[in-house]
Amino acid sequence: MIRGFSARSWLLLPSVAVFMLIFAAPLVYFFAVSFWRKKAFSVVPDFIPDNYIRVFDEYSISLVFTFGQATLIAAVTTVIAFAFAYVIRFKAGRFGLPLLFVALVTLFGGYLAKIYVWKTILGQSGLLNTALMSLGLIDEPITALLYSPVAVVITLAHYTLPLAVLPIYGALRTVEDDPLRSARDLGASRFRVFWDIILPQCQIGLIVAFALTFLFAAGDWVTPKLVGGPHTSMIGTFIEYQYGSRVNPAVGSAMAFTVIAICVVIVGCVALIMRGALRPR
Amino acid sequence: MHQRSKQPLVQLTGISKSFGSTVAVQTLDLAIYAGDFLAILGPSGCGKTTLLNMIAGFLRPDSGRIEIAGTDVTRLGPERRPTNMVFQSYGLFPHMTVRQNIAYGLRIRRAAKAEIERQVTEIVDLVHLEGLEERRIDQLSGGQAQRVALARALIMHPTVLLLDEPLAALDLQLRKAMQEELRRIHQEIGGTFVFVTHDQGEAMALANRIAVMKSGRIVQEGSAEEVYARPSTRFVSTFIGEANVFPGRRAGGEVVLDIGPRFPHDGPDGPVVSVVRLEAIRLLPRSEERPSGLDIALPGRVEDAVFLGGRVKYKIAVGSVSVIVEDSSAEEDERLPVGSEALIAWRYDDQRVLADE
Repeated sequence: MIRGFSARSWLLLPSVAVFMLIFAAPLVYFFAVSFWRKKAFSVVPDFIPDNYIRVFDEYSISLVFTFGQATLIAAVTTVIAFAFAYVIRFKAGRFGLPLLFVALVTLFGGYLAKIYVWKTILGQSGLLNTALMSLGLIDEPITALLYSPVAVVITLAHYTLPLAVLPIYGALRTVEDDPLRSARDLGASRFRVFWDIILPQCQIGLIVAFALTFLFAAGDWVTPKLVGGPHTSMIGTFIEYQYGSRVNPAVGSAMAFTVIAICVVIVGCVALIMRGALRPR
Repeated sequence: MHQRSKQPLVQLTGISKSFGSTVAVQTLDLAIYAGDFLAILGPSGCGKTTLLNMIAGFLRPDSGRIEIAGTDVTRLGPERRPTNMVFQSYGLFPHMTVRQNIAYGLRIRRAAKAEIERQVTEIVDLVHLEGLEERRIDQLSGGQAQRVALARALIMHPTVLLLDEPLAALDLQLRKAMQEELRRIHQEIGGTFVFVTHDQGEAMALANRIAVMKSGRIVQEGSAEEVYARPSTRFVSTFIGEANVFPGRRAGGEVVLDIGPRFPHDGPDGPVVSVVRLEAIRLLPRSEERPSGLDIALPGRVEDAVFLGGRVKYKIAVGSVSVIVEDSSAEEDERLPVGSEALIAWRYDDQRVLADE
């Protein structure tokens, strides 16, 4: 038993080593850096909390805005993804897998392509404004469409949707038909079947989908920069400044770890709330 | 046993169902009486599960009426019918414990907590699930899962309990034990059970009434004894129990079987079969006189003999035809050895002459 276990652990060693080297090591390094001190145009090793204090002093509004945006994006995406996965699993019949394939194919289109797609649609002389004007519904282009928090929500929701569909669809696939039928047989309405039997069984999928989109949205700095406009101060953008033009990786690291910590707390809370709401009685 | 004079509890009138161009259930009537343990028996694809699903409300018939306890339920969904179903795959809720599974229906009914508690305890007692209440579904054995499915349906006190191949997923030992359980539970609570099966042994072991289905029709319906002793078609005779089927012809009120015997039998001219149960045929050594009271006797040779415990199954060659005989009377030293000459004989009353299909 012990011997078998250790033999297997040895086989795991290379992958563990790679994981440590490219994933854990940088994290540990930057966690250490987040306590360092800035000196001229570099940072020197130290152990001071000043960087974290600065994060909350200077960026708390941005943090609140970022996590508000990210929560909204994750919630919207998860709901749409669930609806999509639900249709694939229960309603689409033999068109289900083609639908899933189509959703996944859009991932190959790339991240920037999707951003520019939305620039083209939402821009001042973009598809939407042109269409609305030629229909006579508006007299002049709506400038608030692009370069706004709404544009960020739309763009990121669109991009992360396939990522969110996958775990939910995976969970829905394990939901069998007979339990749903027996719940009906025992007197449950369609809504009760949905709430009591289907949702609890794809809880993990929902949480994973939410976490994926949430983490992506909270950490992203390209989308807000390109479609967000001046009032969309997502924290990712500021972190980039710290590492770039501000040459202060210490504060940048402190910001990054603050973001990670808040992400863990929020995703954890969402998971707990969902578990509570869907707990069988 | 039920009384025929009573109103049926479930009345199907002119029910039919097709899927696309495939007719699953042809127009049929069926009456189920209170207290019945009815088996709907037939080979796979005969429409028996479709019929059960129509009674449960999962399928709406293309035509006809379904009445349960005097109420027309034809257009009601399963959640509004006084029936509950035990699914072949059990259909248990995998994210709930045994107790939560069993209590689910009552919770939907908004029964009081204490009442649910009391009824769950009672039903857990009935199906012998004591001590497993807090188990998760994936920690149950097949037999235990079956009991949970049964308890979850029974706690609703259904007017009719429907069971779809309830024991098919269990191994032989467990199936026998569960058959006994089902019979005991049926006697204890005195409800009306309808179950679907392709296993005639199971139908005979459990049901007091059997409806035999073939190609979407009910070909015979009656008490288990009746269907066994007086099959109405060749299909029923061989599907329920084993039987020898001797082809022949009827002309002018006389039947001539291909293996020899001729005897008077009224009915239309044409091809017929004489169906004789294995145990209805007497097997005698060739030397003996034909005992009185046996109407038909044929000489043959013992081809094979298999000892089956309380009885011996013989294969007797009569000309080019093999006749199967089951003899439960023979003592060990009276058994006929393979290769010996023998005489097979039976009474007119023990054969069923049916039009050949």
